[in-house]
Amino acid sequence: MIRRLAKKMRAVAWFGGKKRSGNKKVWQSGPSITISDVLEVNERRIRQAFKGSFDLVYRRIAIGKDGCIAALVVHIDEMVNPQSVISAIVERIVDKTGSLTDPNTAYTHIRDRYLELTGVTEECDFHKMVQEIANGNTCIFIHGVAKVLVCETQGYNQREVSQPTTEATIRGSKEGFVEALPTNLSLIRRRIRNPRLTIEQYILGKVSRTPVALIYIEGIANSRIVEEARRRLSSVNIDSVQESGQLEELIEDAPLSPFPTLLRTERPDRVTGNLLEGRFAILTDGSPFALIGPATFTMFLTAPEDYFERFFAGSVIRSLRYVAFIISLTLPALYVAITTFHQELLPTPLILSIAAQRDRIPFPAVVEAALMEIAFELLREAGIRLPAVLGQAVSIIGALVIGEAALRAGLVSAAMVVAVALTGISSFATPIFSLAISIRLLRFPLMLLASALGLFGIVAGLAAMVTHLLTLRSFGVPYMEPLAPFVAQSQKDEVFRAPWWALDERPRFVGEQDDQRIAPGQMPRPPAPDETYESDR
Amino acid sequence: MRQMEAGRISLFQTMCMLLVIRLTATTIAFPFMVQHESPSDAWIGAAISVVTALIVFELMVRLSLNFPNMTVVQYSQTVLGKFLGSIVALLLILFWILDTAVAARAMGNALVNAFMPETPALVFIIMSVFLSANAARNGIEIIGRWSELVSVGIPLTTIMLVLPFRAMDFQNLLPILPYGFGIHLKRSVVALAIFLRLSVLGMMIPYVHNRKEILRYTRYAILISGFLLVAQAIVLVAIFGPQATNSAVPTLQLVRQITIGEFFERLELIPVAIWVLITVVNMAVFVWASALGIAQLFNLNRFQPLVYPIGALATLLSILLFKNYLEQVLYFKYLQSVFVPLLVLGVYALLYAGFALRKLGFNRPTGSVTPMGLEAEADENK
Repeated sequence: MIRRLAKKMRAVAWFGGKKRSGNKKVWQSGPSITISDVLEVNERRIRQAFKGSFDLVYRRIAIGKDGCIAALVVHIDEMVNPQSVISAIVERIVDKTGSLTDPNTAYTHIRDRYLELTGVTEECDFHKMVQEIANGNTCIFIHGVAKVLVCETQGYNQREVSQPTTEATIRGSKEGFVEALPTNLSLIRRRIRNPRLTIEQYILGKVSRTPVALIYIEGIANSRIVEEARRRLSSVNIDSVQESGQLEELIEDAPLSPFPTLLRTERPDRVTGNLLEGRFAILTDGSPFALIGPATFTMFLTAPEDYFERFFAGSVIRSLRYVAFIISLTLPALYVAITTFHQELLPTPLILSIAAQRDRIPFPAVVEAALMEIAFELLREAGIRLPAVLGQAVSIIGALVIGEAALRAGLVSAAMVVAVALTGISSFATPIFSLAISIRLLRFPLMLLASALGLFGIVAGLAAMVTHLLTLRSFGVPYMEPLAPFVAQSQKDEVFRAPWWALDERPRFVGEQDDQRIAPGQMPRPPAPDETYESDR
Repeated sequence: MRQMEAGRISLFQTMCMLLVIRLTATTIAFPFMVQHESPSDAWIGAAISVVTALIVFELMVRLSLNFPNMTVVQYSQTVLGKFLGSIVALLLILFWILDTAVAARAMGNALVNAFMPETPALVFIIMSVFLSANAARNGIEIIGRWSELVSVGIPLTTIMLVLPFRAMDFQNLLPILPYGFGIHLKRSVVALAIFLRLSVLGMMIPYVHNRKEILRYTRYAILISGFLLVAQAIVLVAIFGPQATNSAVPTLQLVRQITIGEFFERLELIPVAIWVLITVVNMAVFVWASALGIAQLFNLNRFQPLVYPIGALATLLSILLFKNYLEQVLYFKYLQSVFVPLLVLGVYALLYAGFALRKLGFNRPTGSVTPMGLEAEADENK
């Protein structure tokens, strides 16, 4: 059915696309133009290309002996680091070229000797040069030379690397990604200092021209998966990429599924951990969220901390998260099913007390549950949208005051409030927000099924959900792997986490090339007691 | 030609599927015990059925392995010729559809009796058949993974057999053989008839990775499910005594005996949920097998479009089969135990005979070369 819907949507998109395919030419750069050796011509063309935007700086300088050579420095005011433009470019080339008279010599000397910048390249193509200016680089033209020097001077305001706000941990790195791609890449490079860490750049977005990085570790990542990722990234044709979420929808495997098939994370250590398992990551400039693929279901229930805490604690906490997942998905539905159909399933005193509470409630259980769940979702949404200061107030007013009042007014029963609160708290325990959202969506149909068919409805709903989950794949890897298909080896790192000295292999489907993660036999064994004492003495 | 079913399953998944199919008829409903004439030593009949099932499937799988890339529907035509082979294959397919209907009805009835007396069984049947048809449409891989997930329920239900140990009285297991041995032989056929549902394995073998080992895993599946069958027959009698034969859902009664810490009193929720899932997966296998079988029989390109019609057919059948619960009991006790072994064993006997004749040198060009009529004649002459 979903497939048919997809077909329909594709048809709609096709018709829509036909109507709107008119102004494609605007974004094509036209015939290639070479750079002129006359400064005025270049300046005029650049002004034309940027449609006279006021924030472009055209700085005429006179270099060479007695200023006999005219030069032009062009950059966008707010995209460059002013320090490097003024001191490293303008001052230096004026100072150093004092003895030169020939423009071509001046040009080669500047290129090879004078500039104290990390990146200086030559460019002959006008359109590429314009793009470099738009990227925040500085171009140096010299009168009489039909080439241009492109200096890397990018510099703009960016947020400091700070603690990730959506994935907090107690133990482990406190660094989170920021919006700037180079900074994010440095966060990853710093953690894996190996030349095999491969970073491929893609420029996506016809209008926005956003740099996107595909990262993997050569020799660990499965080459076919990486190839597939490359294929999907290069087939993206969109006007702009502002957030990795846009990219996610364009390259994921199951665009119509409520479940995410790419993992998004704000934490560099989660990215590196997954790179080391043989997955790839996609970083988008302008977004602090990295995409990781292939993503499997269980990855969404793991937190980096599981690996940093000692394995007993890590395992218990992780299995607790699985319980939380089940609670957040089914508890309201179970409440509805039990109070409506299966009162006999609860111990008599408990069901009597629930029945006594429900006695005054004017709604059937499903309405009560849906009302409370919707109210809770509202509260949560309002809490996010409001300024941080008010957010607290809203949750206090909403949760305490309204909850209490609704209870007293006899609109909802206390048991329902407990159930909703538990559900809410459990859904906060899901480490990755995108899965938490899908759970929130699926809770409501389950509640409806429960109200119609009781427990059978819940089981049927879950069965339909699991069938769907089993059909999903992420970049060729079954989504429910290693639960189904069952992989005995990978169970060490699923619901429980085995100690590090036992986690000897990478996931089977993903890391194909180099299986070994840890050399065997590293379980620490303290020396025999007598040896210690002897050495002490 | 592109292969119709592109999925591949592991040996473990195959075993899980076989277990799931067999355990559908023990987890909650337990047709073997219903109306048993000699409850105290009923386990003897169960044990006999395990032995016979082992023998039967040994032969079946060995035959299938002679045609490792063909389903039973395909090789029946190679062995018996186009006409007879098609009839034989059609019989098997009809049997699987029928068993889908029976499984659906048994589940529907049990749910109505035990949980929701006011809801018509049809609601449960339609929903579960739809779910299983949906799973079947996605191919054997998905069903294989489903059965792996569901198999987690098997140890759970096994634990539940042991938990009410306080209520067990093993005196109930005496006397042994009060009515003689013959009754158990007869009764073992009831259990064997359910074992014969595993004949669907004939459709799976070409899709199994490493299929040379399949024989071993089939034995495991039969032994594990047989062990559970015998254990359940013993536990039920130990707890309920001769009463065990009266309940429609004796296993459910058994689970109701369990209390943990005076709070968890009604644990039947868990086995019922597991059972519903097991039944859905079981039906999915049958729907998949019959859809694929029909598609192969009639040389269709895809089997997926057949899945929902077969589901609808099974739903209809499940309603039409039995007027009431008593008829269902009678079906399991008499009808099924006669015609299912007759049908499945008959079919396989024919296949074996055909295969043996082939081996002895009665070889002749098959199917595509000879026209339909001649083929049929040749079969009759043989």
